[in-house]
This record gives sequence, structure tokens and C-alpha cells, in this order.
Amino acid sequence: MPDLFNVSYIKEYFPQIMSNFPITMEITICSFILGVSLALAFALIKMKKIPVLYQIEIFLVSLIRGTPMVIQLYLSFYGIPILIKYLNYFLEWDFDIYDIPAMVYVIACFTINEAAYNSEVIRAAFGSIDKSQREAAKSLGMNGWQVLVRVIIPEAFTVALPTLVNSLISLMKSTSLAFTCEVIDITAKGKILAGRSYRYFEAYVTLALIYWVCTIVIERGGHWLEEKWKIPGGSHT
Amino acid sequence: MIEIKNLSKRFGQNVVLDHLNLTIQKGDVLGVIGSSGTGKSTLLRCMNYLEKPEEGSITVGDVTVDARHHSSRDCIRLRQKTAMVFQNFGLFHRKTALENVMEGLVIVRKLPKEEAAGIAREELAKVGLADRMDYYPSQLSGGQQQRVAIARALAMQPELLLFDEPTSALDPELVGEVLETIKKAVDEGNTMIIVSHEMEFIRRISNRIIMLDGGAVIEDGTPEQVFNHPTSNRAKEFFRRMMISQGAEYYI
Repeated sequence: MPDLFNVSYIKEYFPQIMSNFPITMEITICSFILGVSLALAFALIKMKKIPVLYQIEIFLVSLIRGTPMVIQLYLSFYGIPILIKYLNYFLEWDFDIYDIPAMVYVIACFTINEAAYNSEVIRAAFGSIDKSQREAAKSLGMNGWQVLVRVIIPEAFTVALPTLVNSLISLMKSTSLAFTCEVIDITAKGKILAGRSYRYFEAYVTLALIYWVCTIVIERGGHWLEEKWKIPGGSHT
Repeated sequence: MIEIKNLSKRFGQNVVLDHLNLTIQKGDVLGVIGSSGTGKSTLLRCMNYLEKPEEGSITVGDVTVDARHHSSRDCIRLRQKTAMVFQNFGLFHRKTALENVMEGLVIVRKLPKEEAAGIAREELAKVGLADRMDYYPSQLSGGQQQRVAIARALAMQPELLLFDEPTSALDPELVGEVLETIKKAVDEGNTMIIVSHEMEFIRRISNRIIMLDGGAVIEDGTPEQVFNHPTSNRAKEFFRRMMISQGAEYYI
């Protein structure tokens, strides 16, 4: 039998690839938390129609939706340093762009991407909350912030949770593009290993398994949260 | 003392409240009646600025809010002086009956949790829900939910209670328990405004009735005066139609 597929390479690659797993996790978790927070801000900006910010947001969302992820990463990787150089020039700053780790460009890009897609989800969730709870909270004398934090956000996140879990899964898988910004995540690591031994297929199988297991873990976590947040007694009235 | 001066509110071209003036003494139970669309609910909703009037001022105790120049802080202070009971209860779905009542005490009045829980338990016991404290709204009947909402309003010790058609969304057999609870709140000497279609009830518990029509007060007096000796033709016609639709022998 020709040695076309060899499981022992998978066993060999797995621990080496996993040594870069924290990088993948770091990008995923940071981008998700920042992205959802920014999405919340975007949703509020959109609902309140805050001038200037609203226009900027519409522009950003349209741009993000209208361009491929890889291009966005390149734009972030090459664009942000150019922007900083201009700022250095015009504002007479002295900011060294070579001090910025590549990770920053990656996380910035994924954050904005997450925010753009999730802002609509969160806005829709806000819209689904019936007016009576908000009015009841107001009539108790809560200020806008208290109404938001105590009533609207918990309620909206329950509604948005399944969609946010989906978006977390696709974000986690998109991080495999991080190598375009010279960040060595698990995919980049797999490629490097494969390049040394020419065992590309085994490397990609290993990667596939890792991403798959991660997805299942996130899905399970999402279900667990959904169950936990469910209101006893069932349906909303 | 509660004072409404020159209150006006319109939705688009539709004038709902037209330079309305009203003074309410402490301890008054004011029943508001009138046909649909005459501004009864809007009046209540303006009283705590859930609806922003275009003109006029509202004074509750030492807080005065003028429609032309008010800050959101003023609105919040006004809302803290009042408490509202809604037609569709407005309970927080994600909180138990007890937490619903505690919410305002902890978040708005900044009471320590234990103290708030104590007050909440007491208020829930008063509305007869001592055994339902840890239930979620979805596990309670409409009448029970509305009683939780009343307990939540009473717990805030407002200077003015606002009831916006508190029984309209209830099954007929659940109306009684809610009216009973409101009656108790009356007996405790709370100042309140009640908008309701339960004519017999409102007549029995109010010490003053106003009738609204076209956003203005067209009748104002004791229940006896307004129900038995209305002065305006509009009011006479209203009662005539009520008689036909409900029968004179309508008791709760």
C-alpha cells in the first residue's frame, strides 16, 4: 500500500498545532467581546439616529458587508499604519508603527466585522422587546441607563443569543485567515508544519478536526446558556 | 397637592388634551371616565411623562415639570413621585414576583437588598400573593400579575398612584380580585387617579369623578353629582348609552 495518508502525522501535528491554539482563542474571544460591545453601540446609534455617528456607521456596515474578509484584513494590516503615519505627520505625534503587534490589526478587523454583522441582530432584538416592560421601568423612575441595563439588555440578549452563537462560530472559523496579517494562528502553524514535510493533507485534516470540535463546544455552550436563561413557565405573554 | 395646568397634547393633527386644568388634593381618589379616545389614558401617561405634552405644567408635591423647558432629570423626579399600574401589567418577564416588586426599591430608591425584600414581601402579602413570591409572571394568572403590579406600585410609596384601565385586559372572572386590591389601596388613604370602564366600581370608590371629552373636563364633581345629575348633554348621552349596553343593574 502506498503511503498516501498517514495517521501518525496527525498525531505528530496535533500537539504542535495546539501550541498556537491560544492565538486563535485570543483573536476569537477578544474580537467577539469587543465586536458585540461595539455592535451594541452601533445598534444604539442606529436607533437614536445620532447625527454623524449614524452616517459613519451606515458607511462602515455597508463597506464591511460589501467586501471579502481577506481584503478587509489586508486593508486593516496596510491601512492602519498608513493612517497612523498621516496622524503622526499632521498632529506631530511620534508614534512608532513598528511597535504595534500584528495581532492588533487582526483583532481590529475582526471586531469591526463582528460589530457590523451583529449590530442588526441586536437592533432587531431590541425591537422585539415589548414596550410595556420599558414603560414600567421608566414609570418606576429609572433613568435611561438603568432601563437599558436592568431591563432591555438582559431581555435583548436572550432573544439574540442563538444568532450571536452562530456568529461566534463563524468568527472562530474566520480566524483561519489571520495568517494574512502575519499572525501565526493554528492554520498558519499547520501550513508551516506541512510545508516542512509536504504532508499537507494530514495537516489540514488535523486543522479540520480542531475547528470542528471547537464548533461543537461553542454550540453546546450556547445551548446551555439558552437553557439557563430560559424563563421558568415558558412562553412570553 | 397635585396640580395640572394648561396641559395640551396632540398626536399629529389630533388634539388629545386641550389646555386641561386639574387640582387634586391629598387623599383624593379621582375617577376618570369618558368615551374611548377622549384622552383619559393620555392624561395619565402625561402625568408621569411617558407621553410628553406640548404645553402645560404638572406639579406633584415639590416637583414641577413644565412641558416647554424640562430636563430628563425632572421627568425622572416626577416619575419617582408617581407610580403607574398598566392595562397590560408591565411586569418584568425575567424576574419573579418578589424581584419585580424589589426592582424599583433597589435600583431607584437604593435600599439595601434585605430591606427591599422585606418591603416587597409585605406588599405582596397585602395583595394576597404571599405564596406566589417566587413565581415568574408567566406562571401567574392575569389577575395575579396585575396584583403584583399593584404591589410594585405601592411599594414605591408614591405620592400619586395612576391606574390606567387596570382591569381591561383581564378575563371577567379575574376582575374582582384586582378591584378588591385597588379598594384596599384606597382604604389605606393613597392619592390616586383611576381610569376605568368599571363604572359601578369607580362610582363606589372615588370621591371625585371627572369626565373627559375632546381633551377637556366636561363634568367634575362627586360621583353622585356626575352620575346622577350630569350637566352637559355629552355626559347625559354617555350615560344613556352605558345604560343600554350594560343595563342599569350592573354590579361587580
